[in-house]
Amino acid sequence: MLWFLLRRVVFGALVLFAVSVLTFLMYFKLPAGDPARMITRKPTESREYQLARERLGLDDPILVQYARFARGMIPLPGLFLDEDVYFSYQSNIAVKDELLLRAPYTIALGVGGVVLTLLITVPLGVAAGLRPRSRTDSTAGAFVLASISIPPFWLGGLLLFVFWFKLGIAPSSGIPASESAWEAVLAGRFILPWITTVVALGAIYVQLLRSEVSEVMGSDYVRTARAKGVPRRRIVVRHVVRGSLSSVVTVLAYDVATVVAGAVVIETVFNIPGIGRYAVEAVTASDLPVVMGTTVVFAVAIVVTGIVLDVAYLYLDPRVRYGEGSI
Amino acid sequence: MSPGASPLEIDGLSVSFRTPEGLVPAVRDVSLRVAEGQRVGVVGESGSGKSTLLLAVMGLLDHGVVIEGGSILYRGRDLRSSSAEELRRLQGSEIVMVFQDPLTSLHPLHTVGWQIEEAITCHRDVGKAEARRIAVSALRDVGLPEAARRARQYPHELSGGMRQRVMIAMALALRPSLILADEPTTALDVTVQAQVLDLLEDVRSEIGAAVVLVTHDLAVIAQRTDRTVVMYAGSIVEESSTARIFRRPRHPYTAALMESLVRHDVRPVGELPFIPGAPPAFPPPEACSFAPRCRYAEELCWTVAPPLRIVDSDHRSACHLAESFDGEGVRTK
Repeated sequence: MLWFLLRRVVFGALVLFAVSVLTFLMYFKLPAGDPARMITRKPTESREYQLARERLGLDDPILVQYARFARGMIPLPGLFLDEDVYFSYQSNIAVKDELLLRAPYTIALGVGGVVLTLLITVPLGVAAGLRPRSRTDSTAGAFVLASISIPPFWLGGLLLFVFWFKLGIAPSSGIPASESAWEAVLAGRFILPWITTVVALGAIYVQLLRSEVSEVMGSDYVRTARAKGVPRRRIVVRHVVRGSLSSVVTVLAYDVATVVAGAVVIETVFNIPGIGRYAVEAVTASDLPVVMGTTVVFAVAIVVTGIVLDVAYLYLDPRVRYGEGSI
Repeated sequence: MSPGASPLEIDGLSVSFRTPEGLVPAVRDVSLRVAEGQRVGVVGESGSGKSTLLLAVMGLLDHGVVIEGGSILYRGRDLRSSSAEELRRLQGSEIVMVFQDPLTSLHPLHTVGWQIEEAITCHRDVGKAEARRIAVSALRDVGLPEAARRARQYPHELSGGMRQRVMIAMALALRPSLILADEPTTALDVTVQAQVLDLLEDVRSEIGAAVVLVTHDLAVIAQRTDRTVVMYAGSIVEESSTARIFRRPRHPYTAALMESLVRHDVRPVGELPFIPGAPPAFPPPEACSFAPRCRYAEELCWTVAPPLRIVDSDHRSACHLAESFDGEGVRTK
């Protein structure tokens, strides 16, 4: 088990390395991305420009420059995203500080969105699976179709148009700088983004539970439970839903990882100052340290999720065992 | 509930599968009585309707399988007109079922102890500790060594034979009065089959329950039942005491089944005997459903469906030639 975890961690580190090299090369070679110009906003002949080039070490060999960024990816306090390298060329603010400042908004969006998604899709998917071809099942089918076909940026815009612009019952997009994430939640500024999240994420949960539940309901072990005289409600919760838990948790974990790293589209549409929008702004401005920093955070979230899931499976399914041979 | 009434009395039961082409009969006009503590064996080929019969009694028919007529009485109480809650109270406590494949019939994600405890707490008002105690003692009764430790294990950690012991422990923990066993040993190794059947018999006789044992193994029927019911294409074709039937079958189908029995003490010569063909899905109403495969079939068999009738004391057969048929052949009068 320990051996297995160690291998997963080493593998994760390799993934991080690959992601960082690719991101670095892509932005290092970009013509629009001369950091010295971005910081000084002066012509290349100017003395300030030359000084900035020297201070950022832009004339060092590419390996040395990459190494500076790589050092900041080691997840140890003092090293991780260290401020001397990881700071925004546009604003001079350290990436670490900016991430901490923005995290509450992303978490408010993500946690609320995922919880609401589960509250709506789990009962819907289970009910549809219990009664195939019923009215509930058709409702679930319609939801899945809508969820797959409607792009979130379009739905977000539509919701804003209807509920803010036309009806005036929802707040507009954006969060005033003076408002904390919690105050924004209380002001209802996350309601439309959450609804958009439900539609963006929901299809797979409904579809997954619908097929798993209808399959498990016909299984031999559910027949045994019925033969034991177990009440129907208990059969559904303790036998059927329990059996589908592993697959739901798998999807859920990666959804959580994605929203933690920033729901890029939804944050952009609703102008939420979260991590996702931070990344998008950095990409459009070729702000290399911020791009590197947010990419690393995203990659770490995905890698850690994979490892957490592997451990979770041990508890969710007693048949799972990790031996020497498992990757 | 009248205490004198028999544990199971089925009268004129018909069950059909709903298919796109219409209703396909699976059980046709079956009547059967199981007396207190009696062991009834139901034998027949795959598709003869024997499992469907048990599931109908248990109230566990799948969607799309419908009871078209007849009654099922448990101690005088009509199960078909009982409410779902009344039925639930009987299931697992008074009427229990042991299934064919213990691996797929146990929940893979719960310990076997948990699954037995659930059967107990759904019917008895006992605490968790008491339920665990009953579960462990039930496991001990079925001869599982280290019962307390086994109770904490999952089905995949047990062998096939142990799993079926768990199923039996689960079924018998609450001392039922009617046990329905659907080919309980088919999925097990031959060496384990006899052990499990011995065990089922021991535990059953201790609590004095009646049992309906469905199997396609005539040897099991011969050794372990008091009465034998032979089913073919959804109907009972012969019924009597096991001793009588094995002494002199009164239906060519029963006789053919016995001929097909492979005996371990006789070296087979040439091709093993078998019954050619398969049971019909839609038996014609105006003919004997076995006629196409029957080597004694006469004119009459193709034009009149033989009713199940008394041919000897305590012996019913659905064959026109039952009187002249002696198990070896038809004697010409």
